[in-house]
Amino acid sequence: MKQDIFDQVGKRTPYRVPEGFFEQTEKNLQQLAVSHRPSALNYRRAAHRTSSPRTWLYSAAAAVLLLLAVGGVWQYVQQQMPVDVVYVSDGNSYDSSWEDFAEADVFLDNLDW
Amino acid sequence: MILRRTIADKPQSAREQCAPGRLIERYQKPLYWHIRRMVVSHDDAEDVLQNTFLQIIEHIGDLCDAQHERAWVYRIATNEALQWLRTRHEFVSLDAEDDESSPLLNTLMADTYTETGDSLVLLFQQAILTLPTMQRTVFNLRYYEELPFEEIAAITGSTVGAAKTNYHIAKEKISNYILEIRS
Repeated sequence: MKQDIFDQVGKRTPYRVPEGFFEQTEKNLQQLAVSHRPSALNYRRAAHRTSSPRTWLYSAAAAVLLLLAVGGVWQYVQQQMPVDVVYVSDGNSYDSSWEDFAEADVFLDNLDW
Repeated sequence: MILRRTIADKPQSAREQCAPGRLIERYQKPLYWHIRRMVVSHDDAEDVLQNTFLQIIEHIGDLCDAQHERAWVYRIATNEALQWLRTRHEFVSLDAEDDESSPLLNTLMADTYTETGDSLVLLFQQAILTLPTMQRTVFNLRYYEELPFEEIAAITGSTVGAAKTNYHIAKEKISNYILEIRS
């Protein structure tokens, strides 16, 4: 029953066009195409537009290689730099290094404590 | 060395591919009917058709690289028709679930170039106009234009599965609408 409706109607529509409409429209559109012809610059821009999947793949590969290169340089620089050990006293802990220094110092040894 | 090719460098066949005259000749009628079924009014369809070809001419460089010419021109026509409907009847979107049909139903009955002689054909078209925009677009492209679902998905910016679902829901709704009115 439901399919019958589609079979009965087919591709018929109630839409109509005026006599000679398509012939006249084609002429108008062809004139429009001549008057609105895009410049050669637009063609070139379109031809150079980079939106293909291949372009995205190349861009991603280039980004990964760049990251690897930057990472390698960073690693190398880190290895070449001298290691500085900085002692920072928190003020509460006993600093025995000062005692060793005092014992070793000649002038301090001569002082009458 | 990478060679950058422009339209002028392309072979003759490729230049013909991008020629606006060929596209007008080939797509004028099918695009008009597609637009007409979307905007309903003949005068509106004529304006939208002209805007569509302006867009096609403006972006014809894209077509030189486009693999699916038909889907490309139909997508432009669909977008232009939706844009037109937006300016005429509040907000219309392919994703809209709400019923935008009543202004179009009024247009159908009021348009000078609507033939009201065959009641079943008219009722069928009214049933189509009660569908949400996405279902109506998908139904028209499949039923009248007989486009494959892959192309319909590309035109409407959806998936093949969604296009198939929309088409079958639309068919069901149309037959239900007609049976309800007739009973």
